[in-house]
Amino acid sequence: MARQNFVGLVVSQGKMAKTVKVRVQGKVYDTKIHKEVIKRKDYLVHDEGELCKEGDIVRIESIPKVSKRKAFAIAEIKVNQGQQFALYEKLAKQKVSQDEKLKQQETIQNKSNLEATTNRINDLRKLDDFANIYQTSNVSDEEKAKLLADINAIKEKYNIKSWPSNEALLNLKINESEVEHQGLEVKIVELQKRRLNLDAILEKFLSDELVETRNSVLSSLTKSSTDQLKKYTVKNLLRKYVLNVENEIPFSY
Amino acid sequence: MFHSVKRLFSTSVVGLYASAVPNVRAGNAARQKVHPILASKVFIKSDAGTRKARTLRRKEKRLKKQIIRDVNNLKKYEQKNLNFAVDPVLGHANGFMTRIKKEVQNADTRLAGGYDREEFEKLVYGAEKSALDKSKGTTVLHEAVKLAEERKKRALLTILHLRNTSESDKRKLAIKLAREEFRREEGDTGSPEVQSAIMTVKIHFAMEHVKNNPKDHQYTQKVRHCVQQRQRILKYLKRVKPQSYYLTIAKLGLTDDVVTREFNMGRQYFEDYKVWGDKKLIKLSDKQQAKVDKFSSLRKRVQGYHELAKKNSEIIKNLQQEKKQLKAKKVAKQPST
Repeated sequence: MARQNFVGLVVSQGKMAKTVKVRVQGKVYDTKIHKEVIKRKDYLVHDEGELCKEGDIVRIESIPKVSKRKAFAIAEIKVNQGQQFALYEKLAKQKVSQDEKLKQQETIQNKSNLEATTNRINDLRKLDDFANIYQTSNVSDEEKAKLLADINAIKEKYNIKSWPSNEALLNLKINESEVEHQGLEVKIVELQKRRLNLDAILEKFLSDELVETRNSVLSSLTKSSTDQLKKYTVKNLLRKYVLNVENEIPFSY
Repeated sequence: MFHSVKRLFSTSVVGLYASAVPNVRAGNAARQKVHPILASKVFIKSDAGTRKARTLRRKEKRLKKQIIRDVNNLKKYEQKNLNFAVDPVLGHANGFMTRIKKEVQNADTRLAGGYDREEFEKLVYGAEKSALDKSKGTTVLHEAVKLAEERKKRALLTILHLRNTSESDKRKLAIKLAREEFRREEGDTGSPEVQSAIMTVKIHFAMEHVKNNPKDHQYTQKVRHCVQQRQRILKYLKRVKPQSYYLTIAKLGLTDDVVTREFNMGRQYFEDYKVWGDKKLIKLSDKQQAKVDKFSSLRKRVQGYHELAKKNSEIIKNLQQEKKQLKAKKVAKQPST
């Protein structure tokens, strides 16, 4: 005869040696209220390997009684959610300690960046002063030579070609975003232009003069050979190609 | 009871065995936990009479039973009255929130109004440079312009010092930092991770107020709502994305039991975690107080058992070693006689 079998949820683990508590749930027809009601029963189950974790769904099987309340053993772990959770917890702890270290490094980096910027600004100020003294006040040739040497040293340090210079010596964050913005604007204008002239571009692309360039473009877009493609497929592919601003059109329009 | 006694005996037997064979399992024996049942051990002297020995043995048996009962009762009580692994409101003392709090008060790199110190320095330099350029060719001295600009800079730094920010500004900044750290991708402001992180920041800032204003009951109630809501959000996250959930709680310094177990930030919490100092907030009835006293004395008693058991195990170990040496001596003597 087959041994008694249940499927249940591990609700308690680690409190007793080699034992877990498994909750088995079933429906029982209640004759008083003429309705099926949920019935739960907790079993103490033998877990020899101590593999189960709280939250696992397991199948339990009856065995000869090992203690007063233990007459079942774990037969298999059906869903190892509890074990998975325990693993996640372990991994999360490792990740957090790593992240904290990274964050510490980041703050140190930020501090050093600020220091570098202030140093640079101070050097630029010095450069201004030197240039001012050099140009305006009456200094001897010896001192002038010394000043020039100092100026050149700072120039070399920051790779500045001329002083006073027309280049941007410090990059502001606000300008960075502006540059990005300008790039986007250029793309939008280009797209609008292509959309307006789409018919003309496609006509030229499909003309016999550009067979080779067309085929090279098509081969990059599809796996099938370019001879077998139908006319409308070719046109659709080319339209897609043209409307992507990242792609270059191999002729002027 | 019989089963538990058997179990207890079996473990102590293992311990004795381990101590008896020091060469093989010396390391294990040192680490082996001494069971409190050894506290009942009575050492009967060899010259004791049979009646005396019998009474001592009976005494030992009685004591053994008492120890088992006490240890199990305490175990049961402690399982029922389990403490949280961490502070259920504030979480771990170090980690994410400490870092954020430090960052918010970092006057070296941050200025009021969300200005960046680095950008500020650059802008001020640009202003100085343009002022100098303007003054070129006029009668104004280079040094005079520089001095004026330096004064302006100092004035700006004074105005924009972090001292001049309000608590709500700091909180806003902290929330921003939390959002940036927990977001799934750029622009994510509403995922459960972000929500719980923001809630944690709010709770930490609010608890400062609660600490300083114990009578602001309305505010405390709001914080209580916040704690409950965070718990709810995290429970949802556990259901839908367990991996992310564990990462989030680890980052926030919380533990699983804080989220899944029932918790109310009531007066009991304020008393246990000493939010308002050592104040007694809940007056126990005589019956409740008696129960608490009973278990605290039980805890002390069990502690005593543990200490005594350790001493007794040492004595047993020494006796066994002596016996062994005697035996070895006997074996050595025999061939000569």
